[in-house]
Amino acid sequence: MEEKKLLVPEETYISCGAEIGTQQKTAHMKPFIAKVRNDGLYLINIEETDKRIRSAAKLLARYEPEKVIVAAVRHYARKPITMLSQICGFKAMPGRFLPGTLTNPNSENYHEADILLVNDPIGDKQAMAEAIKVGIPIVALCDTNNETRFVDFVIPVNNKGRKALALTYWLLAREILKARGEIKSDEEFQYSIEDFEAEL
Amino acid sequence: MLEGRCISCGRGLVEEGYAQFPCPECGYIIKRCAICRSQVAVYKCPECGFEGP
Repeated sequence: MEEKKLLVPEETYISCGAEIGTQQKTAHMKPFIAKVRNDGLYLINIEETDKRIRSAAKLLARYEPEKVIVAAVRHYARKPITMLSQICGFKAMPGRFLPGTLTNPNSENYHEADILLVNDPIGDKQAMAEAIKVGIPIVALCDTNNETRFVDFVIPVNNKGRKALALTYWLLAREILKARGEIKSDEEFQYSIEDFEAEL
Repeated sequence: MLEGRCISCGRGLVEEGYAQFPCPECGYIIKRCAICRSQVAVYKCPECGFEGP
């Protein structure tokens, strides 16, 4: 049987813990769950994660960079989203998402976005609520415990781990540049996964 | 209000909460209504067969 090549070797996904889910599962995330461990921990299907990262990169590459907003409240996601935004030209919103950023044109932090990328639909609910109000599509990193209401594109991956987040955003940055034609091969991407890792 | 209909249910896009975006694979414009988005209804691109969310 012919095996489809993954973006990074399967061992890298496993060593970064990208497939590690939680002990809860939702019906929305059921299609992306590969198996359940003896201790009750659900594991995400890595092939699905890989496929979704490729598609998400293609989707985000179709938008003007300054019209893409990336939000993450989670501490370990702040550096990865900042790096992704620096490399791809997106607008990063690490930390608290100031109310009115998408909805109040009189606000100092107002930003007119065409698409929103969130790290966690539970933690980033303010960003989600504003995106729903202004009618822009939402791309979200979802773990096994997430509900995917109002999410238009799900990336099933561990959205809590430091290394898993670094790997996911590193892959997204690389694939977006490839989709835009700014780099031709993986070797031309000058950053390492460690550059995306948040400090302990 | 947006012209066109929801790709999953065929309703008009009137209520707040709808969204449109290009299909990641082929660029066909996918439109989803607020109800289908809240119910996590599956959508399928008529051009390339891409399934989401």
